[in-house]
Amino acid sequence: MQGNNNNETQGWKSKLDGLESLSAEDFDLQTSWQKLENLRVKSPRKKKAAWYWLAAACLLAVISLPFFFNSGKNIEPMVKQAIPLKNIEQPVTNGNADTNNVIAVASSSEIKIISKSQAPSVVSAKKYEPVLQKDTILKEADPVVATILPTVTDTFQLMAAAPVKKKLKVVPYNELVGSTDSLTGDSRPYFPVKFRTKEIYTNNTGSGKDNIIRIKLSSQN
Amino acid sequence: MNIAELIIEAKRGSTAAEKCLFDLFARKMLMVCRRYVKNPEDAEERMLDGFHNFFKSIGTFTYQHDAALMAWLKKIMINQCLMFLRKKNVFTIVTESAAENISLDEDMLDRISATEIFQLIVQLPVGYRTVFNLYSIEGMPHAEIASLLNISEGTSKSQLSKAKALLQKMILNKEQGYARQQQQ
Repeated sequence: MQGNNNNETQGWKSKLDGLESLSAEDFDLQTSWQKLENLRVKSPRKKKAAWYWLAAACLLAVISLPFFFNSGKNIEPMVKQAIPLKNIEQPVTNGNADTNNVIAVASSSEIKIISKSQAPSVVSAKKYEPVLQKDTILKEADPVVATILPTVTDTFQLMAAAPVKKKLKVVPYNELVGSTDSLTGDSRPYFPVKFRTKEIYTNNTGSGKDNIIRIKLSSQN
Repeated sequence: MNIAELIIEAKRGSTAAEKCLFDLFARKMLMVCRRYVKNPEDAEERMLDGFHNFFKSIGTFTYQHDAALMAWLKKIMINQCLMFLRKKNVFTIVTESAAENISLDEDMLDRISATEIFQLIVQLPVGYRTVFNLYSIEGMPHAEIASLLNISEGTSKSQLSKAKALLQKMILNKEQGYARQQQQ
């Protein structure tokens, strides 16, 4: 069947391939080329360009939308909350330790994690003096106002009144024992410390020189 | 300048090269279109559309030899014609069972000229003509023809056998006419 088809095809093909034009017809190549030229001029090159421009405009709009919406939010006044100074218990530190870079302080029996959402806390051995003196408030205020004003005894009371945003869990030291550093072989346990939005793991109590801080990179942060 | 160089120049966007290619192949391609589309104006439009597509996609074509270029051009033209016929909804071919295979007499083909064969093919009804062209001239199998024309293989075979029978009859009539003319 296929062979038969091939024979037939060859016969018809060979007959018709040589045929370029019918003798009765006159086909004008020049006119036909002119028609083709007109067809090509009409072809939507400009339309294509228009589509590209439209696509570019859409892309630009999509990119600029978030900026547009965010710009409205920026107009709102930012109320910056004062970072409350907590009454920090006097940390128990080892002798000459540099306490300026310490984020968490471990006491002998338990670790108390101190963190603030606004800025990294720096624990120092300094004692904070009360910002406002009781006497100055009373002196500068009107007698009427003075009666209304609450009496500020010291900074400690002010700080206690400030709302605590986030309560962090106090983990007993014993619960952290068991995890050792695979790299250094350090048996001191790592404990998580919240630093801004990152979760930092450290086993540093501020006593040694080799301060290792590990940062956990997670999608949640 | 040979065809390979013309193709390279046309790829670069040379209108002169495109014109040369058009001059070389336009007549042949018009005849291909005429085999499928009876109306000469429609056939010329299909040929022009075909060349338009050819020049648009010439960047993707890798020239190997003249035959490959011819085959590619022919394919473009045939596709244009089939699209046109489909749009005109002329393929109202009734599903038929496969007919018996009729083979045309080889001597019969030798006795008539190419122009006469062409004119006979053009006279065939559109369904017969298309299937005959695709099978007997382009060498496509029935399965491919069926998928192209959205018909069954059986219908394609039936259309072909009917086309052949009709062609045979037309050729015989033509020969008898010649014989009568000679007797007179």
